[in-house]
Amino acid sequence: MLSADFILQAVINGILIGGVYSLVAVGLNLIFGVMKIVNFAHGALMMLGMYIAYWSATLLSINPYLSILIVIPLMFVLGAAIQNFLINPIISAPEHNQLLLTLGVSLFLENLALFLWSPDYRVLATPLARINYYIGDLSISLVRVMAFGVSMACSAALFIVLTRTDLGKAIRAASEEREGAILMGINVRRIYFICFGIGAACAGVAGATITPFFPVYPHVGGLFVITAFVVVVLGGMGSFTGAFAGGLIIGVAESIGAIFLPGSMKAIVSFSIFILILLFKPTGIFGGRRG
Amino acid sequence: MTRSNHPEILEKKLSRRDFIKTTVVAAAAVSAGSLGIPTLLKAQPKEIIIGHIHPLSGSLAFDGQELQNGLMLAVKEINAAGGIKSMGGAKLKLLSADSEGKPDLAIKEMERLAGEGAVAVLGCYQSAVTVVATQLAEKLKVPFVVSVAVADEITERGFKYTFRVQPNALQMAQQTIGHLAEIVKASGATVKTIAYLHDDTAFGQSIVGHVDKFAPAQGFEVVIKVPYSPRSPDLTTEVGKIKSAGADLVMATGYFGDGVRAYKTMKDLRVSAKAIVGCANGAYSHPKFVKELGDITEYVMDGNYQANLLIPRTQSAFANYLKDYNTPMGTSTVFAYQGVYVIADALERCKTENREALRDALAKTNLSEHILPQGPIIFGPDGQNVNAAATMMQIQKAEIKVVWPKLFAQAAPVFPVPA
Amino acid sequence: MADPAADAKTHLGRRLSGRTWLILGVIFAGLHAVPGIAPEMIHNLIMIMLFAIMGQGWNVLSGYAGQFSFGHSLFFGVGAYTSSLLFVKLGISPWIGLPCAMLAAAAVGLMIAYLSFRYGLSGPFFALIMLAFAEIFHISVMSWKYAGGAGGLLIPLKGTAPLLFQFTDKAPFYFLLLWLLAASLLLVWKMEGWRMGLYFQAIRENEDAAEALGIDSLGFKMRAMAISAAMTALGGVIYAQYLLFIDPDSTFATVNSVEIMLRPIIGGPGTVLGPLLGSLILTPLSEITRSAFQSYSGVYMMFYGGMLVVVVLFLPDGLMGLFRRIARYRKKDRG
Repeated sequence: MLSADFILQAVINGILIGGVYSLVAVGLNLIFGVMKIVNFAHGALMMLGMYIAYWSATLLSINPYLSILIVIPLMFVLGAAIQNFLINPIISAPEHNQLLLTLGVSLFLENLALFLWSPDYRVLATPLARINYYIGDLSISLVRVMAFGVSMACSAALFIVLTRTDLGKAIRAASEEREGAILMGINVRRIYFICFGIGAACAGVAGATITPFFPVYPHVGGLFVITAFVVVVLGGMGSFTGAFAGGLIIGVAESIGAIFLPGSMKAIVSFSIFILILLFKPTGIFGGRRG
Repeated sequence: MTRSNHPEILEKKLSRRDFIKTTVVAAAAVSAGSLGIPTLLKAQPKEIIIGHIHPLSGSLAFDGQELQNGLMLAVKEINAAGGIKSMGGAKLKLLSADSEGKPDLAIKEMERLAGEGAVAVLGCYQSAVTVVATQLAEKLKVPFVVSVAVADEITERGFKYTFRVQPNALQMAQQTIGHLAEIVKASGATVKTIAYLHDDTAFGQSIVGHVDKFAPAQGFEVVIKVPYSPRSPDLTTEVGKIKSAGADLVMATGYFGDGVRAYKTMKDLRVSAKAIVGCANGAYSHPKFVKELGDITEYVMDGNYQANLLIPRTQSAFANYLKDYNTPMGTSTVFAYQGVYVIADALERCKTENREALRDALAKTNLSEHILPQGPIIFGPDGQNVNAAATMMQIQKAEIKVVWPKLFAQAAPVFPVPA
Repeated sequence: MADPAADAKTHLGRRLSGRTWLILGVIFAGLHAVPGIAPEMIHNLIMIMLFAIMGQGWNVLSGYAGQFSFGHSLFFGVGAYTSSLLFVKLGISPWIGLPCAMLAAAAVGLMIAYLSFRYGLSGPFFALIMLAFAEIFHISVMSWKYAGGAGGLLIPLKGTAPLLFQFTDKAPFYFLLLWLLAASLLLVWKMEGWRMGLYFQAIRENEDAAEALGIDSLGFKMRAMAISAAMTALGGVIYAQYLLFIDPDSTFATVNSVEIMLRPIIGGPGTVLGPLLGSLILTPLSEITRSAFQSYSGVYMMFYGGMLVVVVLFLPDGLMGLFRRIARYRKKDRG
């Protein structure tokens, strides 16, 4: 039964969903890499991105891919506000306090969504979702390709910002050597809230791109956030390229893993990778620095 | 967005004792104003309290609130029609309890509802919560009518106070396979093999176990069973396995969200079969499934619990529901709605709020006026509705139609499904 | 345990006055009367004490020894499943299952601790690895047919059978938990003064310095894990006997880890009374918010999340920290 087509199909869809994981993980990793904060609210931020796309399409008839232009500023401001007003006051407290704080934010946001928009599953009815391309027996869904493409484009744009601009240099300086950056006259606090804003925007965009083929509901973020943690650890904490490649790898690994492990057991693949990497190769397989 | 205000329904009120107790413990943290709702019970004409426990918050809140809507509609209808006539037109009042989907809260809430005078309690949507709640109901001698919870064990423990109108996992699997065999036979097609895609929660595991057992007797063979996690964002590989099996029929069991995802993936991958048939599938016979996925859902079948849509009684219930909640009544909600009528019927007969008398009346239930596709509602010695029936439904022209058994069918089944 | 006063005398440097013991003794004795006076409060008190004990378990590892765990549901589940499987499958009384469950949880804890601490995990990395282990157990038990899979285990109701740890009445659970809670408080209070307790705190404050002073930090962190896991498993066993039903979601799920750790965090991590205080506040508070906002789903969980944020921002040492600050302030005022 293991036809070549079957495996190829698993790999293709693994890569396509992996692209979305990459974008989620890149945002999570930026926050971690720069501020050493494990952001438990990342899934909730992704959920908000999905709702923004959903409501823009339903109420304002905005194309879900164009709604990204709304998602980015809104999520940036929200992320920056979370950083500035909630996380910044405890930035030098023990690490678990920041983890707890983001957990609290996550609980708050998810249940705010539940309160505002009810627990209904909402599916964005877009005609785009019906379009599939077929190569022989292989199926490629347009909206998945779009999600992949948009995620790649955003990751690439972020990569350019980080490597080619002064802001990027300042961000990297702040992440590598906080005290040094302060001495160099970099406003670290400003860098922090920019980073959290960018991280939140990445999560939001990832959410918006999957809305055409993924139901939206208040607890949807939980499906992605654990995977995103695994990706970040796999790729190496603080390593941009690591998170990027890690997303694709986990996407494919889960897809292939499901061939051999039934049902929920396939998640064990991810968790095992997570534990093994943390224990034996904490710098991640791409050799980023340890946080 | 679908939340409505229903002043006629008693929202949860704290008893004075509870109020003092809880306020003393944490007076500082909560504004007492929001709690100081005076109790209305004394001033009103005689009222009979019926309690319910459902997941009104948390990840199953969507389902829990739909069920609550069904209960509220039944209470409203019964009261509008003059209440419990044998008890001087006493009105029903619904007392809500949120389980949050947690079994330990079921204990707390079951006790509270009993303490606040609920003559009977309905619940709980999740089997785990229902198992715990019915256990306590048995101890407290409170009649418990299961609204929705399919686990067979619930009525297999020799309890006297637990009743279930809804078909259990065994009845649904057995009847779905039976209906399917009849439909196949009538169509003249040959079906030998089944590929089964199911979620790996207790629900999916038990349904697929029964199907596996009953299929051979009807000449079917389940050639592959592919479990999936309802939390998995991508089901390509699982669906790929189903496709590779190349079976005559594809069957599927799951909840709403994952059911939608799995079905969409099947369509994307062009899984071909004589039909895609759900068994107790949370999505395939849900109106939102059709609304949201559109014409690709055409001809999907589902063996599931459903109302008898041919009779005016059901049609009026559905119309009232649509009017009040602006969304079609789901199939689970039908059983919450019907549960209230079963209790009301028993109250009419026992003429008292005494719980033991009500239990005895419930045990003797023989209710022919109902909205279900079955004979009279009669409970066996275990409390399970002996006539509980699953029907086969099919989506035809974007509408969910009952297609089998013929007695309750709104349309003829289309089988095999045209390519 | 039975005679705390005798204990206090041998406990150098950590004495409470005779009067304090008398007051505590009277309160403890008085609490035995609650089931007779206010039976409707028993369920809440049982849940308060159950989570106070499990929170105390978390507190030993995370509050005292500073190793922040985000996966204590693992020990809750291992405890509940060990005693229940022994009873359902082999007919072994949960009274015997109880120590077995505590040992099993301690063994699992030691394995994880050895792996994690041996490889130098700490902070959020340790928190996340605990989460990952809890999830692996969660998923594995879901697929473990012998243990009932996702459907869980129904513990057959035997009526009132004290030898089988079954009571149709709630009061015995209440008394049992009352004594266990007192024992756990006493144990942790004494532990604070033991060398082990002091080393735990030294490791928490500065592990490198502790190592430099010759403290075997790996060994002591493993001890903290073993005690912590066993205490949490104790709660799991009682939970299983109280509900007579367990399934993977109500035991191993992450939400239980949050419930367990929230109590000591709010009450005051690394303090004897923190977990109990947190539990005394959180259980009724969640009850009140839930009933006040019942018709608005989500509001009360929003409140939960908001409270967590507020506590982390303004009460990093929990309520006990606040009390201590007030006490210090008053002293300064007087002086």
